[in-house]
Amino acid sequence: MNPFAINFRQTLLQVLNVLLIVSSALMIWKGLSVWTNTESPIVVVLTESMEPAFGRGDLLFLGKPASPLEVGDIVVYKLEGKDIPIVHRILNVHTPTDQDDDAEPQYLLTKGDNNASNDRAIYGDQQPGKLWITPREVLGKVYGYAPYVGYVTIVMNDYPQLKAVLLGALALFAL
Amino acid sequence: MTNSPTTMHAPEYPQSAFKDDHKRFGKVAPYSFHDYRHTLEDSIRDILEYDLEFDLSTKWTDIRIVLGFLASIIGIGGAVYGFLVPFHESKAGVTASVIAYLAVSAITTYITLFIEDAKVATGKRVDPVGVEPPVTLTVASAVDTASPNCQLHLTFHARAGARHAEVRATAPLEQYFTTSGELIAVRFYRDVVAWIHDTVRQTGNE
Repeated sequence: MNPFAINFRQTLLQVLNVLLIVSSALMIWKGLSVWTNTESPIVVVLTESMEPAFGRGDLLFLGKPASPLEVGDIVVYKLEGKDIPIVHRILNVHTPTDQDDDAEPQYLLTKGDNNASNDRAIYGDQQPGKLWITPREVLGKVYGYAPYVGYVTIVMNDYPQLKAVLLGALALFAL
Repeated sequence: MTNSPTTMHAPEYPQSAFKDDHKRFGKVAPYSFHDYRHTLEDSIRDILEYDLEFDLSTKWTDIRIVLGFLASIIGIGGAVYGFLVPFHESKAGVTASVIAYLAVSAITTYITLFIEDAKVATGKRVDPVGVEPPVTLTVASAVDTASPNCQLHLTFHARAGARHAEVRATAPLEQYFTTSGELIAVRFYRDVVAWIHDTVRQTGNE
């Protein structure tokens, strides 16, 4: 076995280490998504609208509920045209009695615990006249949380250079 | 004298390839048993290949590399697909990629833990005359970090035809390194060559 072959094999193994770290992280995320049946199984709270229940930087664990949503459930929903999902509590649930194919199973009204009024002003922002959200707009229901753990994400979003530095350090560590 | 399984003569240390080869390891972190062990394992491979003229096998390493790249392609490809296509449409494909990734990773882990295990090197020497059967030598290592002076355990297993032989050797890791972390190459070379000679001799090939 010539020295070039040894070095080539060692280089391949080092590149592979980095690729496996990246692919493992991606697969863990996607595996969680599939298991919880939601595209965002973990989200970070960005505002104080749900205090004292959840504060800025808290990590929330979501899942798609098998049973219909109820008043008091804390859900994360995303409106069409808005990039950032919102985590608020269900204030009111309207279940239509008609069984049309077009009818939604439920209509939901939400409100942040720390907000003075319900979310109808937010709904109407992109879609004037919208008074309710539907389960299709709900990413998931909150099943658990970890306080402050998500602050790292907030800092990395506020300072993108920090994200690059952390990823570079991780790659160097793997090599 | 020609090296063959029947008359395996390693060169004396001053004439060995290892005398210059070992310098590429440089200094290791003093008292880092992890680094000590890896340096000694790399040394064994060099001695086997360049001084004792064994052909080292890289079969399982190559298989792990192929499977590793396959797992990476599946993982990164599946994730990219999941990000580009809406969740409900891509769920089946992403689930398949997660399962495939786990399966390939499980195979790689099995190879690392059970097939490669503690093996340092596997090499083969063939009699150029063709009289004696080839000798296959496998070296495995283990470190006992619980012992006071951190013992290195080496197992040399040789097979020549139907004959097998095994030699186990134990030595404190630190005795092969100076306090500044340099490998004491002559000491390690002579010990390894002696252990390998003993092992091959016991197969009746010397």
